[in-house]
Amino acid sequence: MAATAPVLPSQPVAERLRRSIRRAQPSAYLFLLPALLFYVTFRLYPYAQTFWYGLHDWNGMTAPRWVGLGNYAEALQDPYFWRAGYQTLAFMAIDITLPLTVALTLAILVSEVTRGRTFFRVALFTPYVLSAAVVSVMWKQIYAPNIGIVNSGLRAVGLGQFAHPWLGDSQYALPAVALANSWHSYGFAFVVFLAAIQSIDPSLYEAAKLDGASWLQLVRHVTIPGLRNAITLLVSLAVAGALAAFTFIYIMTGGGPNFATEVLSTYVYDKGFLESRYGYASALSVAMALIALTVSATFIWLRERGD
Amino acid sequence: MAAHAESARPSSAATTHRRSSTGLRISVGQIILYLALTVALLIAIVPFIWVIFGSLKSSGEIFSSPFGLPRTWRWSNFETAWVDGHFGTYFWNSLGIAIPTVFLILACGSLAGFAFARLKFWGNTFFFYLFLASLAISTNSIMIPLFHQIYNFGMIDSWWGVVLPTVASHMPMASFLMRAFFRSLPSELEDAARIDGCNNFGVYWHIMLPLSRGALFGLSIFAFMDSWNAFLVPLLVLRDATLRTIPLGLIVFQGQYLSDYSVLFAGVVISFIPTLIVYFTLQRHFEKGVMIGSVKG
Repeated sequence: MAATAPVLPSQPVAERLRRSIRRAQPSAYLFLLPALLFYVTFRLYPYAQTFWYGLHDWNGMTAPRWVGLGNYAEALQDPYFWRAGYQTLAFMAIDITLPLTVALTLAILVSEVTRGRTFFRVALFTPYVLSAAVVSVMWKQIYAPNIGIVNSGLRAVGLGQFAHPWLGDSQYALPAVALANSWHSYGFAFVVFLAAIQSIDPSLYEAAKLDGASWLQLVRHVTIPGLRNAITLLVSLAVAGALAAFTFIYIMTGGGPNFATEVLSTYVYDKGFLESRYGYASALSVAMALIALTVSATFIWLRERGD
Repeated sequence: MAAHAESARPSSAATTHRRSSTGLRISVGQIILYLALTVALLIAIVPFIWVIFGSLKSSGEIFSSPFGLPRTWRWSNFETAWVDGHFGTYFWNSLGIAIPTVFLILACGSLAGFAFARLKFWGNTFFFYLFLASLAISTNSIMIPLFHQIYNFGMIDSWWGVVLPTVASHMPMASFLMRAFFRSLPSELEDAARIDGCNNFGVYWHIMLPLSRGALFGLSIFAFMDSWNAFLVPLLVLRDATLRTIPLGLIVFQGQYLSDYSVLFAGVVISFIPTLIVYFTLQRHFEKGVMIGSVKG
């Protein structure tokens, strides 16, 4: 390092340098410009437009007609909106609890493994690297009534009477899609938990062990508290992820059978791109964003209160 | 037992990552542990094995012997899927969209990250929070106006119609990541370069970028995966059959081969094989790249 160090500048040069660094640098805006252009054009502006469109009746062809809060009033009267909203929350409930529980359990178990830890980590993470589209097509076949592996498995162990057309049955379709989505998504939480566990101070375990703590007590009183930040992060991301679970539903059930798996994102898509009711669909998007914010904020509030 | 001997030693930071964190030492516990993990492993990989073997069977055989090996290995299923499914075209389309996407994300994200981390200008905090605001926006909740925006730019049925919105959606995260990284670099190098007469761009280009190869590589894996796997934006933008990406093409293919299961399975395998090959080759980097998604918090 000493060899490459520059010759120390004389006092005035250093002084000038320091001043020039402290001074505002207008060229900074040039550095910011490309990112800002992209962001404003394809993120911020559409976001503002969602609110604006939501106050209009618009079919995409003729001029938009101002309806004020009419779309929101209609949404309140729309039983399908309420059903889609309720199903969004149900889907979200499964999509948050199942993958996170599985990921946490697996991360704790894998961190206990002395041999083959890398192997388990790599293998258990594999589903996550696939695209949602591929996983959806795969799981659609897994649930298929005749060739699907779920029904084949049930028949193979003599439980053939429980075989179902899972995605065609309005009672099972939503949990079935949520299960497929969980199979895809748990890997992310698993890797985050594993990294968080490995960064817990080992002396905490040593101290607890000296006090005679059992394995379960170590997990409960050292590991889980050490994962609080990871849990908060993952729950917030899972809320956003569950609302974004458009791909799975679009591909696996298209919202059916009989509306049983329609969620807000697919309902917005249908209203907008199939029925050309862009204004109404935008108002529903605003509602969807509000639900995401409410759920995240409630979770953070509950957590803060628990402290 | 190795585990026992190891856990008897006092722990040191260097050996911690090799040992279990709580030092579960009872061998019965270890056996249960491996059993539980094996069950999890099966759940994670059986769908892959089922689809891969299924793609080499006849459709009737998938039904009659769902768990067995193929009786005759029908490689012709792959030929049919490859030719009828146009997966070659889809592959190039996916690549043609992902490469400019990754390049633009790296370029714009690192430029903005440099400004946020190293330059003093009015509105630094303001723009930072402006970017932060959108982490709560998902592409889903802006799909209607986003579609019209792309339409107004005349980019329906063009790669750019997918590339530019994807780049935009990555801007907050990419610039936050690069900001955090550039901040962690020592300022001596920058000062030295300035004395040698480097302007801001020179510092960025000659000092900052060469030092951040690792961060840029992780970011590019994350961005590439996101682009390669994307569904909603391509679905909105790419209507022309010859422009479809792999996920879109697979959906159409699935509609055509609804009952010809083995060919459909071959199409599924063709769609996921490139990802798996890249994943197993770059495994460690992959995990790091994906973890970038967690800096959001």
